[in-house]
Amino acid sequence: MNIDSLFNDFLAGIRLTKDQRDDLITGHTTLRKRLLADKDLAPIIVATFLQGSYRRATAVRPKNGKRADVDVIVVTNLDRSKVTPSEALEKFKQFMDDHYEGKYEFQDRSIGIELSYVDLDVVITSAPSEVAEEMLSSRSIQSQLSLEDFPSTYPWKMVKGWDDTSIVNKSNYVLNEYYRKASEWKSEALWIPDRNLSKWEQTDPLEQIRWTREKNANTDGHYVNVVKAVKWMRLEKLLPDIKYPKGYPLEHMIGDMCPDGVESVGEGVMKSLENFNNTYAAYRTAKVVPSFADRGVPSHNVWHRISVEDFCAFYDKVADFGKTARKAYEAPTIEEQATLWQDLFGSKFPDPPKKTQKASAAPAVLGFTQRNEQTSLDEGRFA
Amino acid sequence: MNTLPEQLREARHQLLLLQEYTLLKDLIWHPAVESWVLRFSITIDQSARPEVPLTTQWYAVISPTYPLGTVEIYPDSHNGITATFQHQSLNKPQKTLPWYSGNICVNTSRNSWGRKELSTQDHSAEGKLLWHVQRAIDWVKAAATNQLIIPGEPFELPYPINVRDWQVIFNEDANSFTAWQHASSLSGIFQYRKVAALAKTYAVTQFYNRSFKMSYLWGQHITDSKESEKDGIYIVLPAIPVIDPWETPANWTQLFELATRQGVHLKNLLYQIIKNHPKRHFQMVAIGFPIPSTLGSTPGIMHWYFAELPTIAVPKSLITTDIINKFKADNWFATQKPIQWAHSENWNKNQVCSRGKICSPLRNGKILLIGCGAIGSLLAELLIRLGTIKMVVIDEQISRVGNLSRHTLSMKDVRQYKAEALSQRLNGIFPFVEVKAINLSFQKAIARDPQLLNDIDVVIDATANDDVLVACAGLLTDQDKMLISLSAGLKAERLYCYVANGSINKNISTAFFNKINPKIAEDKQRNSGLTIQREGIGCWAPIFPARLDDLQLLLNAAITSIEHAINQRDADTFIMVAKQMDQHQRVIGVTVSYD
Repeated sequence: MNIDSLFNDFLAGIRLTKDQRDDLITGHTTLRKRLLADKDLAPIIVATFLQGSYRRATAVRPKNGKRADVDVIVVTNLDRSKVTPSEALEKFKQFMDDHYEGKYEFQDRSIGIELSYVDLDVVITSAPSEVAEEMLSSRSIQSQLSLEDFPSTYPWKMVKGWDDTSIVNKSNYVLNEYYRKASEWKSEALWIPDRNLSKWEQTDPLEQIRWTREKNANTDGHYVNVVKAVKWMRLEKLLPDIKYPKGYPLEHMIGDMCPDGVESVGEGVMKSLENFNNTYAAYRTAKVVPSFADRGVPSHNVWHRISVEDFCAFYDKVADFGKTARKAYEAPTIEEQATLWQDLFGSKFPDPPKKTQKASAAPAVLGFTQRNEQTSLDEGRFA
Repeated sequence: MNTLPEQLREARHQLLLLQEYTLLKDLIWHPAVESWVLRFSITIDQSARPEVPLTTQWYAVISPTYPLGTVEIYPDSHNGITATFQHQSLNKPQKTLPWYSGNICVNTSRNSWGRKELSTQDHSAEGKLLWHVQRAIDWVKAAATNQLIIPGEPFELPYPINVRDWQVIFNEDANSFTAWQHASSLSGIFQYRKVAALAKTYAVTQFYNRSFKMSYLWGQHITDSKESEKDGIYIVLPAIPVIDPWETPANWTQLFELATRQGVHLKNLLYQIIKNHPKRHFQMVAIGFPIPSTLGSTPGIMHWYFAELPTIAVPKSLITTDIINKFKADNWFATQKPIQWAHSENWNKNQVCSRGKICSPLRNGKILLIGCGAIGSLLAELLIRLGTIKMVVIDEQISRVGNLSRHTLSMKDVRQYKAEALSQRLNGIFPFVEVKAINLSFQKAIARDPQLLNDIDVVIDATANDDVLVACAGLLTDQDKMLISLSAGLKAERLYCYVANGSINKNISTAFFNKINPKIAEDKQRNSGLTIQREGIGCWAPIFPARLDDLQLLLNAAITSIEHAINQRDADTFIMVAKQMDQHQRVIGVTVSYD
């Protein structure tokens, strides 16, 4: 039984709202404008762009009135062999005081800025290669749309000359053959400062976006929705007791566990949870945290901050959820399915449809029904 | 991307409750048709028709203004149905859309298809989509088991295709059907002409061959037309040519095949006729076939389809007429050549006036209307639209602009004879109407033609002139004719109608004045102090206080009483229609009383 319509309504209720989207785009645009107008910083700025779960279409809206957050990368031309991480971040202090006084905070690896509806998480990078510079200024990277904004006929691609204007204008949803076939830039890891460790660390947000795009295509568009559903399930069912994994580490795990070719979000959720339990059963027994290699920087373990306690608690809960998901997926009636999914996802998942009086299935007397002149016509009014 | 309207969200979940329904692809916005589109499948458990598999796929195309706007159901291009059925639009692939064009359960003008419980459309937000999909499921089941049409259901023609923007009108009824029963009438030449003042409309005037002729009885407007007659070829088939189950043939090859199956070698006949009439310039083909009024009943009326024979550029090398004609025919009827069907309609009075007809004596008799003023013009308009066909209108007056506030004529008629202008207007209402005009006073008309009343059945006096009434009374005594005299009282507070039977009533004038004079006295009493000025005999002065709405109100209320009196054929009946008003001069009712 295909209950896509129920899942689609659930997803519509957990995605970022239009206001949140508009605000994050405005927040970024304003920041960029200010940076480029700043006489001290402008000379060192190469490009800025959006990254993170928003771009990958895996962001869910925050619960309980909390603000959504968006990740911004500011690419500089600072030479990391000559500038320390702390010095790099310091260069932005005056700018932050000028424009965001009382609203910003220096963190280990980024600057957090509070705006009215969204929080910006600003990551500074050191100089990229020349090739990367060209790529980073291209429309592919500069685009402020998320992966879900692109239909399958007009995918996001990291190709020179690719443009998203016609998607923004809603004028054309078919990508030119040339761009479809052209080979993409190879994304290059960027170096970001870690003040705590006093060293530059690598990150490759573009590769993460590209990987997500591919996975989504292999799952008929369901993957990003499976991630959102599981993130929501965490908000509803894991918090406040079990906090980790969350955010990107959680998403990454789903990316590895969700099989290609799933035909619905429900199937994707069920299989992702079951696969996690099956694949890491031995780790659970041995109480060892599995590692997950970052997409563009394989030397990074995305799960390196997850503790053994977190992992075990999370693993056990997932076992329960996996069972519920399977029951929901295999339930014989729409009502049971919807009720079980609501167990996992909470009230954002719609109630099963109830029969209204008009839907009663009396046996049909087929054929024509002559309009009787005496009875009122359909709408009761004739002109 | 457009956001899904809230009301449509819940509505589509309701569909999950339908047993035969399976969602294939949830609603997405389709920019090409600016609608929300849902793909689903219907699974039924039995099918007697190979064109309807047990599982078929469909698209629901929904207006963004849901629950306002439309919900249409179309077959999927690959896994839907490809035949055209009854109660369905023509079903063909469409280049840029993933569904065929045949939307189902199309409501016809007279009947809505579907089960009784669904006969009233559900307009509520949660129920409307469900209603349409439920009907679609019923339709598929009925199509699969040959229950889409049931004996007794009104017969409806298949959806027209390739229709040009011009139309051809014909004039068939039960009587003409009898004429068609003669074997010798099955093929020949027909003639048609353009109808004046109508855009792109042609009327067939007659059919004939060596041993048969049938002319349509059209009214003045068509018979008076100065347009030239054109030639066409007609062929009568034993039955309607349709591709199973209910599709109009789109090209000549299909039509010839259908005719052959009915035992008619259509192509040969067409070539034959063209060869036998080498000098004729044929521009149309007419295909006639009998149709029933309800399914299962015997066919009782002839219907016609018309196809254009376009002008063909003939190479200069062809010289002889025979060769030229064969060249044209080869071109017209080439294999798979699309047929250019015209829009065709039966404009017979029985087909056209079925919405409401006046009583038989007024409909089928010949009427003489004396006086084309306010009352005369309003009454004439009513009678013609209610089915009167033959009328003579008499008035010597010229139309003036001041008349127009209480008349059916318009500015373009000013300074024309009222009778003349009125007859043109009336003849232009229906093609079978015959109204003639005499631009003289009644007395002069009679003087000129004492036989004037010979073929008249009903005389209507709408002059408010005593002399005219007396003259009519005299002429109608001992005649098997009816007289109706109408006039309005002061301020159109009352309308007086007098209906008399000439064969019984020997004293029409006396009886009339006896009845009306007291009423007029009452009017004057009620309105003492009101001065009236009359200009000339028998016409309203521009300052006479009577409004159009009052006249229409009183006249319309009188019609059924007049009908009754005409049917009864008593010696006489006096009908008085009176306006009722409250203290604020508002009309709060109409009373009709008899004497």
